[in-house]
Amino acid sequence: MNNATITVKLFGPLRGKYESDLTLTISENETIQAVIARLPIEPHPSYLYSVNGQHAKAGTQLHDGDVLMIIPPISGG
Amino acid sequence: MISQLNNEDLERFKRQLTLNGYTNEHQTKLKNSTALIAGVGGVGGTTALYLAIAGIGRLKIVHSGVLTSSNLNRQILMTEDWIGKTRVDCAKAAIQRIASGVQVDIYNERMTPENSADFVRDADAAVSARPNFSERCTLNNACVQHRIPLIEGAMFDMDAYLFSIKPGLTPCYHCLFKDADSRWQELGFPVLGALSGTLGCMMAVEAIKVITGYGKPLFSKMLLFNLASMDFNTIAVNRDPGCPVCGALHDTEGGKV
Repeated sequence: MNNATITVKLFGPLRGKYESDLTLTISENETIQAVIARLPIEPHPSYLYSVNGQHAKAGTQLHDGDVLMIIPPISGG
Repeated sequence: MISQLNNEDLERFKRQLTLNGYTNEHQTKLKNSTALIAGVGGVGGTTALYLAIAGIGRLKIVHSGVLTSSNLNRQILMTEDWIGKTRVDCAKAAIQRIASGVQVDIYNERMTPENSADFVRDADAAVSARPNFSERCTLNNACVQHRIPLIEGAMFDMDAYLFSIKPGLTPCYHCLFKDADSRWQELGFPVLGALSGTLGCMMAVEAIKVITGYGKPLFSKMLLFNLASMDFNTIAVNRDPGCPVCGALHDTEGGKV
């Protein structure tokens, strides 16, 4: 199976210790859900996902060059 | 009855009346409009101030609680001598010192399922800036039910996001965030005042656009930014046809804009 290199942008409290975007090598067609399992973050049904600026779902498959954003709800006001 | 712009208005707002595409008609709409401000902290307080000086006719400010010393790094409507006193009173006094013509109605209450309909019903737009998910969800539900446009913005640390909701046309809050995170500690978020102020200003711009029809609001779009890196992104967001809050609404039912 081919590999794919993607960029992951974490947001808000998920950013944690990461000060910049992550570059990951994954399997081509790996899902967002599978990518989250690789990261030190807890999966949560309220996360909003975006791939290349478009709304995505946990089951969306990722491809080489994709930019994934993982956005939890925040409420600082 | 529509209140027309008078000579004082034309002088006071003449610099914004020369904005490209912004007309007396937009300003008249603003003068005759009401914005509900849910939360008068670092974000909502800034939004309220900039709506007031832009010439909105009426603000309804809903916020429960008193001012503490730790609020002062971000709350530009508050003053040191007000610590321990009710925030909404200080907000009203500060706004009316700067823009005495704005009607400011204040409510020292939380947004609840029981009172939210009364707060949103006569608003032309609502601004969501409470520091907890339960009040944000309650406000979203009320705005969808009464077809009131909602400006949603929140921050955490150096990150913030912003989007505008037109019930029946765009995703509502519940379409995007289905399960508010119960692990969130209210009032525990890290915050730099300049960031909450930036977000508050942007929310004021969105509210002005939504109310007057000027510009292009963030409908079905979300702006995300991080001010530590000055990284700005805009993403498209979609309605959830099965959303229990707004799924039954269609854009032909319209909103107030």
